[in-house]
Amino acid sequence: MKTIEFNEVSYWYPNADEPAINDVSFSVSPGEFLLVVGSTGCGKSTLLKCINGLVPHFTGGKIKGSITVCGLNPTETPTKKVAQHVGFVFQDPENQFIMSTVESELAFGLENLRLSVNEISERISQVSSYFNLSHIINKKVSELSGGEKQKVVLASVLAMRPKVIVLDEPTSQLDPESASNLLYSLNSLNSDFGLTVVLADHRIDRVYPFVNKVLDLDCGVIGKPEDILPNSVNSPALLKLSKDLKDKRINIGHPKTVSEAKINLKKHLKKFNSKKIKSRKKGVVVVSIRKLSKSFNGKKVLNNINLDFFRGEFTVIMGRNGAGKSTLIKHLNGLLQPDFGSIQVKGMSPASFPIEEMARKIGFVSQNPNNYLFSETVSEELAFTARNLNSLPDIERILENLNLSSKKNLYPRDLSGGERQKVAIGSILTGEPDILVFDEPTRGMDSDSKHQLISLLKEFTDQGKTVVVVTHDVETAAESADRIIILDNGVITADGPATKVLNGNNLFQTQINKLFPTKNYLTVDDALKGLT
Amino acid sequence: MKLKFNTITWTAWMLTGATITLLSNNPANIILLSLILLASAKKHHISTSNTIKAAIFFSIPLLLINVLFVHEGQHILTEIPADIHLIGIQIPITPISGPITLESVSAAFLFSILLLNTLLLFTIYNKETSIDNVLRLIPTRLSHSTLLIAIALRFIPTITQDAQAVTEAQRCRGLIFQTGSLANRIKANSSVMIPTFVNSLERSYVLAEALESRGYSKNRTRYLKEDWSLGDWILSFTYLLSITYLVSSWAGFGFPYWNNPELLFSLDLRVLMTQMFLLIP
Repeated sequence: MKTIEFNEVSYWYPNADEPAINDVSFSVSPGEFLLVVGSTGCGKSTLLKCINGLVPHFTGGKIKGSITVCGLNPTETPTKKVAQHVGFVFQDPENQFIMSTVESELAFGLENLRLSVNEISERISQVSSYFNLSHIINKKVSELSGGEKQKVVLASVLAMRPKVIVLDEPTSQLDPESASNLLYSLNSLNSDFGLTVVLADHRIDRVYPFVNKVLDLDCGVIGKPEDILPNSVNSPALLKLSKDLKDKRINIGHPKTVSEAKINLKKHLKKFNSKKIKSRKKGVVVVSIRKLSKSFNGKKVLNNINLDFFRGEFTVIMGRNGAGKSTLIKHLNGLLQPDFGSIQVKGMSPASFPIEEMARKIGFVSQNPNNYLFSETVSEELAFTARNLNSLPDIERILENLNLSSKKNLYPRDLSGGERQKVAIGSILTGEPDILVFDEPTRGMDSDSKHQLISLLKEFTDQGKTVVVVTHDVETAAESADRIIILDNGVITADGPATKVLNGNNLFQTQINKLFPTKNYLTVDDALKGLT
Repeated sequence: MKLKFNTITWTAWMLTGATITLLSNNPANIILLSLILLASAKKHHISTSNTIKAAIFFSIPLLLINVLFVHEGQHILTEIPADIHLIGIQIPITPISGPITLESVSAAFLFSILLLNTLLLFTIYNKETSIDNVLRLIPTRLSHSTLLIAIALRFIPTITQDAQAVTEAQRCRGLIFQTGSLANRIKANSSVMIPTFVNSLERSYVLAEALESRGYSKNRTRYLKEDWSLGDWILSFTYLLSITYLVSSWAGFGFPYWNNPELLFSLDLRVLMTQMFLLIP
């Protein structure tokens, strides 16, 4: 018997003319690991919510077709009952915590199952030992790091012992190390305990080795990863390379892991020439940071930072969750003031000018796009900044570059997470600042949207603007950055050209760099260019 | 060795402290209570600097109101005239005119200490107990309400942080909040209020989805797994007795200084006895 079965399922949100998912059919057997992919706004979250019945019980709207999950019909069974079989992990762990301490959070679902205190205690001790949570069990959830929060959410769902676990972009807010740890945990739950896993994600490179089925919602097809992913918008680097090399008559099969690819590529390695590391051309200094230190509640977050940003340079700042990246960039336009040290932005000190004045020089897009959105339409949202700063941008062109032209008359909050991110970015671009600073701009975006954004930002650097991006996305950094800075515990541990910094970096290494450790390649393009 | 006490014991501890704070107006006892609470905070490694700062902040208006409007007492420090002369103009200040007395200053000081004691009590109580365990003490039939309170309490700092983040985002778009016409200022503030409000709604929507997908229902068990030691029995019983004794003493005889502050500085031994128990956990 199949664990999940969808038969010609279509769903319309209340008052919507177009279905959010249209005629979807697929099935998942017990113990399978299904990856759901598709472009931003294609209905991945809606589909996942159909599995546990949140759609349509919670959302309302109209549903057609038939769904069976663990022998139940979630459209007719109360969600509470489906919850005994299906665990659900949402994108943002912060928003799904119900209790205030880790232990209470782990107990919450078990209390709902009406288990005895002894049984709850036993299950808590099992999951906390499995996920290594014993040392934080009495901590408040607000005191946890991003990786710990996501682990607690996963543990609290798994403590209920569901047969299926559904995860909606669970790694989108995690650094590469925490994301890998989470995926390894999922993989061992899947292989050791036969847990059926359904996961939607945009960062496919790391998920790909673990999955045995892929559903592409853009084309409505389901199959083996090696059949579906090469044609998907989010094709992983190894499959992309395999596809491109095949055109050049080099067959490396469909490698799932770097080690597999290495074996298949061994006899062809001589055909690849090493890439020369270009030295950075330093332009005019536009931002100068000297001896910057900042502490919060007695904890030093930034420690003696000395840094310059140059005109026309694309800089990416990377580091683990809590390394001090966001704190650093918030100093650039005066959102934070240093405890010690100084900052100069085009000759202006952010300490002496209001943020509104600095906005003419520095455009800043924070992590949460929802903080920007309040206008009735996407166009108005973009025009608002232009009015405030008396700038004269070509709004139509910005909308076009961000692929938002067709959505310009829609209410921004009706858009998907990735699209909202693009509106927030657009609302800063209309201020026409010379320096653009972004905190995790590609979060929740599909591969195409990321490429579009990177091309747009590259266009800005070509025009002489300075771009500073904070991201966890190694592939985006490798593709875009002229220069990469790595922060660790408030200290700069690496600063230089992208190839030099990422090459052989254990924490921030691309799949392609792992595959060609001696060739200085970071991206598929690098590998193809190096081929003789 | 630091003993770990049950949430019920800590609740009884907090109620005893609150009873002393509310019923006793004896300056010596109240100052001693502050010292006991500060010692207790230190013992539990709880930082009290912010609590003291908050108490000082709220004490300033207390002192001003007392000094300007309470003119009772025999020890006159100075006198506020009925009018003042400013650039040759006589301005009447009759409502605040009268003597500034040592009694009114000491009463303001006393209220400030009372405020400090209240804040210290709750700071220690919050640190030593979890809100989840406190709410689990409330009867099952009120479970919806207790969950609502727990979520609301968790949301207060989140909404404050949200409002701050939205303000920052809008300022980064060049929005000026403090200048311009009233209509412009209202419009500018709506750009903060709307996203903050909608963010809160969206967050509560996700939280409701999380509750639903984790099978929340009224009919649930309670995981209150705390040890109930002999020490908890003894302490809780002692606190219960102390509260009964303090309330009956107050109702029967009244404590000194309850109605009018006087400048008498001697410890009330009845209160002192119960205060010392607060040092135990």
